[in-house]
Amino acid sequence: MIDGLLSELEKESTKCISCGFCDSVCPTYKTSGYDMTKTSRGRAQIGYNLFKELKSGEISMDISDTFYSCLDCHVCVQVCPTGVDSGKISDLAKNIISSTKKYEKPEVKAIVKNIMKYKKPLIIRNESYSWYDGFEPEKCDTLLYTGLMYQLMPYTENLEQLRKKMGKKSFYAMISIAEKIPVITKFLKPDHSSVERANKTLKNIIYILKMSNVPFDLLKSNEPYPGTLLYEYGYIREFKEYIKYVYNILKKYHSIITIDPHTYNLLKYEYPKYIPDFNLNVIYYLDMVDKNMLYKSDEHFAFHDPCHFQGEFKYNNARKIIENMGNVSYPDRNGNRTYCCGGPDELLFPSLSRNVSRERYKQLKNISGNIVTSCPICLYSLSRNGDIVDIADVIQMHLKN
Amino acid sequence: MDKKILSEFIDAAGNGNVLYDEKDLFPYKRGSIDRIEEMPEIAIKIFDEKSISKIMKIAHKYRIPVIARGGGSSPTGAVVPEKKGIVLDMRPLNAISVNIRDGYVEAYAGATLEEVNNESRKYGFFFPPDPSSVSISTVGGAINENSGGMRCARYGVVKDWILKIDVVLSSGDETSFGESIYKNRGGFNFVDLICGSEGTLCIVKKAYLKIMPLPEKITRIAGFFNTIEESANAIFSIRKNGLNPLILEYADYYGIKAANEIKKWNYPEAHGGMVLVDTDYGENYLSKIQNVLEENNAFKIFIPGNEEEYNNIFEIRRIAFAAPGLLFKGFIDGDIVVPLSKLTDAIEGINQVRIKNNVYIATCGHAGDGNLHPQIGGNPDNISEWENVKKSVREINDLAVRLGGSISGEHGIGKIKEDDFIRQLKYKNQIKTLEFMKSVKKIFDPENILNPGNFALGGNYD
Repeated sequence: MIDGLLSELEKESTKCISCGFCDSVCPTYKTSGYDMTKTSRGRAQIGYNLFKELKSGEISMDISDTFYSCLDCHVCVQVCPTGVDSGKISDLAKNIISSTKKYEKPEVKAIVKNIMKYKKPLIIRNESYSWYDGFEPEKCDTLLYTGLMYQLMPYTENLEQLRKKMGKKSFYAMISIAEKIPVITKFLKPDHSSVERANKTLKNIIYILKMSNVPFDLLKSNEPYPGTLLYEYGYIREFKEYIKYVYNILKKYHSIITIDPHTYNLLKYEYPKYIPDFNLNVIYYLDMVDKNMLYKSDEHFAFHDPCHFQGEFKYNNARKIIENMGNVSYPDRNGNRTYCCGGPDELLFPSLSRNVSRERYKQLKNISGNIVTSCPICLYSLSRNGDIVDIADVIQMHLKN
Repeated sequence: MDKKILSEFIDAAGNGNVLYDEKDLFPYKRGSIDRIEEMPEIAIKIFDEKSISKIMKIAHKYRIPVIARGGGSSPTGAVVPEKKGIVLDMRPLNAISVNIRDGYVEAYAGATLEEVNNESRKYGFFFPPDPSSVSISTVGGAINENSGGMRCARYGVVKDWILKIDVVLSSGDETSFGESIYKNRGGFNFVDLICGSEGTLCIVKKAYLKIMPLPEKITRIAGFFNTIEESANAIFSIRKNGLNPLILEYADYYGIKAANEIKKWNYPEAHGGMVLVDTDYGENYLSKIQNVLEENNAFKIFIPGNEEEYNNIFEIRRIAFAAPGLLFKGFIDGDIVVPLSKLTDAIEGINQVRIKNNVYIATCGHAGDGNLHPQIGGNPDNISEWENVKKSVREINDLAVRLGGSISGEHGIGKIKEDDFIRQLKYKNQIKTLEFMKSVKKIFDPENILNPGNFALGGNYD
């Protein structure tokens, strides 16, 4: 397995001529205090060295931070004159780290264990499942699959508070316990106001689909996590194993409606690579929204493009829908050169994540105070700096009836 | 590095700004394109301008080599710490302030030219020199390399736009050269001397850059040609007809092909290459350029219809610069410049070298000022193949010199073109230049700690 990874790593990283154009767009360069090991050029160069070292022996330096700090926005490839994708290099390197078991991160290991054992990165409390109270799902061949992203975000908020309260040393001691006894994560409480906010958005999504006459079923609290973090942290062997379990549940349905870009991309483009008989119609809920139901107000929105809608798998309907509801402006960094919200670094590099998020919020705020996005990670990450609204909440406010 | 000396640097630069772990130093090993590399003993991130003088005093005391690094995009090895020592990472020192009343921008060495332009644009101004690496090229780097770029035919190179520089000398003393005024005859022109000195004379801390009002609407046109003669004639004719475009660029077949491959585009892979022109004199002027391109048999004229096409056509030229990177493990950057009247001979001559040595050469360049970048690809691990690459570089450099030109228009000499530079001086009977360079170096840097082993100045004086 490692040989295949090395050959891909060689192919991608040898193309790098170290011109540094990618540094000019990498969100983690300036915000990390110009840390050359946390920028896309550094990742490509250190990735090439990783290939060389592993070809002839072992990894000599702990390079995990270099690759785990990559936000996976893939904007670097847009400006690279030789087409190097440092995000891909980071993905390969993370896969190598997880395969060789060298320089694995304890937090990541704890999360991986939890997912494998409890089918969730951490134990989700009942209050995060109140959003479907009073709603009767229809027994049909379409499933509304939340992927648990909206539900999980409020827990990261308190994880960071915990990290600050406990101090780095005690926090990591706790993490190493969590790695061995994953169930202790059930003591992690979510941020209450964030739970309320997530529940409101989820309720709105249900409402919008109902108004669009879309019948769907729900798995409620039995919904499994799709395995996003296994994939994004490079635990591909575990991911392949894990998604068999998820697919067995999902395959009872014909169509799966997803509600966040990460789950949508994972199911639509990654699951089929690893599941030979994959046969699900993966839909994004915005595609089910009847645009005739919406009215256009005179509001002025600043729209934040989520990276996962702008990379290799471009999805433009979120833009079309927001443009149907008001006047929309985009910051200079938009489309396939969007600027990440910083969210993907929240668990491992909270301070870097917040710096990126602050920078992006500033860019958006300069355009309009009415900031909208269509991804739960972006929503929570950017909301640390001020107001931001989920597109579902905007749609709910712009229904004609 | 000795622990006592290291602690002196930490005191001078602030805790956390001095890097000495192998992992942290790794990215400072090399510049762009050329794969020569060396690990510094330490790297110091400069956030505080006052720390530079303190650091230099310590380095001077212990005779430790120092290289100031900006964007690290030099393709000649100029930022490679060949003699180890210290890399000063100037990128964090990047404050910019625009002074419209006096017509300049005050920018610290680590600010990129893109950042300078972004700030200036807010006031309707811009900094005219435009290295293609504008997004990563820093003020300090652009001055030390006397960078050029795409708008040189109209606006000249970086040195033509520097009014004043604040510098730190090798002893740690600080001084300034020039004045932040548009004319100044007070003393020798030291600003011009520092421009292009490749970090061998002093550390540039801050610069006062002349700015201009932004041009009116820019229109873009590209012509694709079947033969190199046709494209070269088109470039020559634009000049001959008295037209003065904002940029006049060239990318050959290989460059267009590379762009198509990376971006999955379908632009014509023309054997005679593409001539790209920007003008800011309105639609009539664009028609005149179009006529010249057509008169010289452009088989396809492309005028962008929207912003995406406008950017894409420019991107072809930008990607062309790195075309061999797509196919080869290594390549050597060519940077020849010839008299405009010899441009056709240069392009033809490069083609002859390609055929004779059976080597991959992708050529692009700033046709408007006679500066071409023949980029020669090969595998550095294959000794005979790489020797053939180096031989071809040599032959092309010699060709430029024979045509009355120079081996470097804008990228400098660095550590990889020293021999060719000395041969150029000998051919032109200008070896005295090198003697004077060495004398000047001794005045500025008697201990030879500033980027030693660079620019043909020799490694040691002892």
